[in-house]
Amino acid sequence: MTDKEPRPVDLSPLALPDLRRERMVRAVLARAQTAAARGPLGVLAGWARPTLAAAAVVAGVSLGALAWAAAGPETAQPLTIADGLMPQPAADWIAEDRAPTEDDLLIPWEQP
Amino acid sequence: MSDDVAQLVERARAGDAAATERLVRLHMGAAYAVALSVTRNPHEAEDVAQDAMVLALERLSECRDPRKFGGWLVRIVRNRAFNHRRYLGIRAAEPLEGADAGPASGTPLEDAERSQLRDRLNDAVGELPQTQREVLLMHDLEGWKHREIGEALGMPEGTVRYHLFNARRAVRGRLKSLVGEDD
Repeated sequence: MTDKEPRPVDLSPLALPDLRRERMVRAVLARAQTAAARGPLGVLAGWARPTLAAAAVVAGVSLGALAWAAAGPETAQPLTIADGLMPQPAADWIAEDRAPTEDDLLIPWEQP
Repeated sequence: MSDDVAQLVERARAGDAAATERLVRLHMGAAYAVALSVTRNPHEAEDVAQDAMVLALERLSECRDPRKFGGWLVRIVRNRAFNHRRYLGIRAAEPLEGADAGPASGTPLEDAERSQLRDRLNDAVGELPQTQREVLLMHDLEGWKHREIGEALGMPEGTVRYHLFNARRAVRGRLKSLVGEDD
């Protein structure tokens, strides 16, 4: 088939211009060098931030769920994380916008 | 050449920066040609070729046969290019576009003629089936041998010749008809 093969097509106009080729080579080498410098620990470190963010979201959702479970099924009001962390008497006097009485301060410590 | 490449791969694996650079320089054109054959867009082809080359360097230890680095790289480029095309939802029939070759290099008349020729080539090559386009660009643009293309694309040498034959004939025919249309 070689004898009958059409002559090569001059595709040079489609070739990568030298300037761009050089820029690509430089970019590849720089990126590869950066990746190599990071190493396996660097790669793991790159995951640290998103992992921490995901952990924070999971913690928030878990606290909300815990607060809801601790409040019991009879609670009609939607609960927040603050509700779960705050003793009920404190929530009362904050809701009523008044200063806590001695009982308000002592009851949480007396309850099991 | 395979043995030279194999040595470069081994040295690059050992952290030899000069060998890595030589390896990249030797294969950047082929990576671009393969990416161009899939994306049909020079700018996207540059991005794909770069990404694929970086990936290949990062995974150099996974290249089982260093003598066949070129074929291994081409497969990475193809996968990346096809993923890129799927991601962008580019239609298969879309012609090569935006193939500007960078800054002008001659007189305005020469640049205009070159631009016209490039557009015609874009049209002609863009109409080829994927495999023919790939074979043609790798052979006539990047100077790969039939055997090397066959290894890279996973086809016998005879099939490469067959695709090249048809691709050249189709492109020549298309170029003639385009010139005829202009006249």
